[in-house]
Amino acid sequence: MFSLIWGALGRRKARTVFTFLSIVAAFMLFSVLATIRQGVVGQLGGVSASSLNTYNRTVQGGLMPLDYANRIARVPGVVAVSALREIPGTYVRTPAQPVTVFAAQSESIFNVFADYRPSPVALRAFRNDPQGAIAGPALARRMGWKTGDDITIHSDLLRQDGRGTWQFRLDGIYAARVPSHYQSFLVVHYGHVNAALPAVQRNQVSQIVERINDPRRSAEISRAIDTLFAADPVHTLTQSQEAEMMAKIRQFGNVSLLVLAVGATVFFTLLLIVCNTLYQSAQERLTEFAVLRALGFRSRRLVWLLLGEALALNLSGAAAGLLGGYWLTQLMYAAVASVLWAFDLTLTAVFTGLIIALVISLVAAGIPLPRMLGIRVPEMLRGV
Amino acid sequence: MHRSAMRNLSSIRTPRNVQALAAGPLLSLRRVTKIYKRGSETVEVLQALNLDIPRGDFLALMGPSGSGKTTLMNILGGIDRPTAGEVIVDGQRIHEFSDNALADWRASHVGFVFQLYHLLPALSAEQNVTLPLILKDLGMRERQQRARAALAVVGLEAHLKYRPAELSGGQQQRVGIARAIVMDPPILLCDEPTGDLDRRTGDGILELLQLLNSEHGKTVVMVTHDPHAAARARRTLFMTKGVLSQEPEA
Repeated sequence: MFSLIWGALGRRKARTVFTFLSIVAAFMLFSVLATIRQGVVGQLGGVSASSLNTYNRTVQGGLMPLDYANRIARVPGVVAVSALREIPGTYVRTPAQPVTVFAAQSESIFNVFADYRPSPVALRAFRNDPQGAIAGPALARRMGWKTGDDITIHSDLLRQDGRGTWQFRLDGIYAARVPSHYQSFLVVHYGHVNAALPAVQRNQVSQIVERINDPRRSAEISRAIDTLFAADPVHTLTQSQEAEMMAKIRQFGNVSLLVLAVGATVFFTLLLIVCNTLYQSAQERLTEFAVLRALGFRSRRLVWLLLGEALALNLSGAAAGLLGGYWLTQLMYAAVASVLWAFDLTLTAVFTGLIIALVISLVAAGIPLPRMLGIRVPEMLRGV
Repeated sequence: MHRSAMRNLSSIRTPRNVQALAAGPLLSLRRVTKIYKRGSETVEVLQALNLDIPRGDFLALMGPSGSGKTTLMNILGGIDRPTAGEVIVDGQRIHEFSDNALADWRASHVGFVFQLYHLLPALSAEQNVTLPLILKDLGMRERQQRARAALAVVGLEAHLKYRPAELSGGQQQRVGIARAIVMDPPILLCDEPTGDLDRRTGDGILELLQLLNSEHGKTVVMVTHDPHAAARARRTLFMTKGVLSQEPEA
């Protein structure tokens, strides 16, 4: 049967190649669209309503005094606090790929985010190493880091000596039960970074994260935190991670609908192309089907032949397209990661793509089927 | 050249087809009628035909175009059904078979040789011959061995990988015959097997059919317009307007 399917596909090589390329292109586009959608809405996955983020409300993106963290820790309902200083930068060997570095007070960040778990050995090494760092598994994988590596980060955040080069040593990699895009942080010591900054920049933080005891009270506790600093020069904006992500996603508009509309149009067009190819191919081979029937092939076997042809064409094209799409999104990652940090081709998207290819195969094989099954063998063999 | 190759086919020979001209007909038609409807018109292509073809016979069917020869052959081969009457092959009433049963029966009992060869153009000679073997539960190697043996019988062992377009008309017809005999069926039905070939090439094909009949015990029914081709058969019947006779219509 395989030789028959292969022979049928090779009968009009140019037509098969162009159809195959159409399928590859459609599924590449699907991969990119699905990855963009994931980049936007996927940011919601892994966020928790029991984690709060506090930022500077007075100046967007501005810093806050480190002391705020101690005051927040006393708010009822707050069970853990970590003050973070973000160091925007790139790894020296991959300057095109941004790296998110958080300077945290020792391991406090792991107390807030319970889903991020460094091993006890890594945590001990980190505690005793002022230049130490702990990386997320996805980040370590992408950069090719392993424990013990020296990591140099180039940043716009300048040290007291005027250089933007920050040296760390990897003490371990945390395990994380969260989506891969939440596994891309590098955690370093706040004390080490703070001491290297110019005096005017010291004891400032860009974000304070809190874990609360009851996610249903997130709005109430957020208000309590912001009220705490109402009389201070720097006001705060506190909200749950979940609420923050929802607000961010809303800025992109209805990405899911857009992706669905474009994807549906592309696949409908593809369906027409594949249907046309298979219909033409079947139409040209009616005499061949009649010969096969005369040789003793049952109708069911001919149905499998046509279906096999459709599946071979669509599934191979879809697999190539998804693979190409994955490669393309890897190339795009550096350019979009700072905005769409959940930018990732998920397994769900890959399976969805393969199911779509399966459905297209069934429809495309189904259209010429009645004509094929309805042939009058004697007439076809006589060339009538 | 084919006689020695014929011995190679013995691996796919069953005792059934070495019985020569055994008593009792292999194929029997009893009052077979075939009526076609073309619009409001009805055409009676076969008129209550009776015919017995003994095992090991080589029968030529002659007659003008539209006389019903091919229809008769299609009914004998189970690719068409009679409007009325009985078709009994080797004791089996095949006109009562379901479509699937008829397909299975064709695969094991009949080899078809067509005027226009009807080879699949995308497949090699070997793959074309292997086609009927797909229906048998055989390993790849055995399929290949059988296909090669059948191609050796028709003298094309050196052309296994050739596509139909790379073969001459005579060679394509030989591949068609190899495909017809690869399942070792007792019956070969040939519809104008030399109709598209020149005299010399056609003679080679007829010689091959004679050989399959005389040395391999195949029962051959051949439709032809050509008296020269019919002369190779053991006997000839003439068909005129759906009626069989021993002599051509005057």
